[in-house]
Amino acid sequence: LNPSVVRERLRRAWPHVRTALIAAHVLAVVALTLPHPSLVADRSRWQSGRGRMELASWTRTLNRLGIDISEAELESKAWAWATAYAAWHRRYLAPLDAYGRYLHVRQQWSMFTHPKQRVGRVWIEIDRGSGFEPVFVSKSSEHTWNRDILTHNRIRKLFNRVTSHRYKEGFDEFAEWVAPQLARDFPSATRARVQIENYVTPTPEESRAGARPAGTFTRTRVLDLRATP
Amino acid sequence: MSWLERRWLFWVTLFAQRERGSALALSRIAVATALCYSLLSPLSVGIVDDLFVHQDYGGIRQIAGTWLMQLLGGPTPAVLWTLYGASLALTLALLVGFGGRWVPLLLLQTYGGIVAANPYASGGYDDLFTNALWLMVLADTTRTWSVDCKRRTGQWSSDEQVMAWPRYLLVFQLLLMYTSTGLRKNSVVWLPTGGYSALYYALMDPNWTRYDFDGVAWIYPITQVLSALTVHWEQLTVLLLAVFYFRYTRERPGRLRRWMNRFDLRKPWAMIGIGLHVSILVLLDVGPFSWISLAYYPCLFAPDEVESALRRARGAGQRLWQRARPGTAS
Repeated sequence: LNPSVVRERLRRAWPHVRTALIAAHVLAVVALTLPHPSLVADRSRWQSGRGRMELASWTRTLNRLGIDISEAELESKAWAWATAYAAWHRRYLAPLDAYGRYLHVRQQWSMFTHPKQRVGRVWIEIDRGSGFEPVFVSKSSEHTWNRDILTHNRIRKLFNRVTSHRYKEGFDEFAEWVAPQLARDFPSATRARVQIENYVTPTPEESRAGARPAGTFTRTRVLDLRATP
Repeated sequence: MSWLERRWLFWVTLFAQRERGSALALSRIAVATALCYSLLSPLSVGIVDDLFVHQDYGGIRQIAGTWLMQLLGGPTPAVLWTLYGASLALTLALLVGFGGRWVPLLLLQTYGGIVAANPYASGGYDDLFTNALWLMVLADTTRTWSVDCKRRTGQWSSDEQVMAWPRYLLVFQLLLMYTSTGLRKNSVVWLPTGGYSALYYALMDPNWTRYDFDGVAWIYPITQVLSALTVHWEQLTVLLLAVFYFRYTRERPGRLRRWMNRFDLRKPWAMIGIGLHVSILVLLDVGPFSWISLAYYPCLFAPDEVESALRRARGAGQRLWQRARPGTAS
């Protein structure tokens, strides 16, 4: 083979190869935008407060549009579709995961796709011998201990998850992380309590009528600060 | 020649286009600036270790670390700070345009290798950063307005041509992000049947809002209009591809093409996008999301349009300066 002929052939082929590679990238990133099976066919998501609310809202909407379906029927049909989709995704699109993972070209753009109606606040309290007193409460202008850190957007990403029912580990890990800092900043405190308060956001009509959401503490972790390293 | 061959050649020709490198260079500078913010912000409050090392070393979570972290020894402070220091240095190199394609390639791996370690503390904006960095590996972003350009030509700017297709891919990435998130907004609150109440509920979530929006119920209709504008603007963003196609094939016949090319629909689309991102910046605290999104915007326009806009901005700035200087006001 004459090297100059090979070079010339490669030079002429390159625009076609380049186009094929660009097309492959475009197809890959489009495929990577499809919802991952872990988002769609995760039973715990469906069972979460937010998942139940979405199902109830969709049932009401479909009923209003004249489609007679119960919440249980809708859930059953949607779950069957979701599991079939997840199986298809795992079978055909799994090889693309490596492209997303090693070149960091993930495409899961689920930004405010389901604004929470059941929201949560983080409470951090200490006990100095006279009962628990709050030192930090999400969005409070009064209880602002370590505010710069606890309101940083990356910490609030974590709060967004731990205030949801699904992420048990995240909550415990957060509580264990915050305890040594409380022990350092409040040496007279013997115990700390980290809690998640959840409440349903009032509708605009309820809010205008002066309704205040009634929160309930759905997770609590009490920590012995004297035993904290 | 068959229809398929003609179609294929159309794309081969499109991806062989060359242009000056100013739009890509401006996008590079904007991405690097947003990255500086993303890296310096957690550093300034001292939570880098807390977020990205294992609980055994003082981190919040029991993270396994990314493949790069594992390769280097796991999610320990030494590995983290090696990657973090490298990311900061590489971001500065990207900002000034030093090191060509190697810099975004290494930065992609170091930054991606950090933020992917803790999915609880990372999100959409990190993916926008890494997607941009990968496309900047493929692009020649330091051909102009860079230290590389100064070293090569003795000038800070150059009219040398670069491949245009990486800019097209950056545009495509932006449109893909908006369209995909628009189509995923399938919660009832984003629909007319749910009263377009999504923005109301987003503003009532204490986790994301910058201020206390308890009174937002009194301006509920405005939030409904903005919810509808947001979701439909996102969903229809894919149609901008048709705008680009018609602009590229403007010599061809067709009533729809002619009508579309009478208006530059990129500009109203970009104005709405900028408005939405400014609103997000004012109302919500979602980190550098708006900054990195806007860093893609220069690629919506051809280099001559970018240069012309910058010239006009510079001229306006100089006129303002002349007026503001004492003794020169007319």
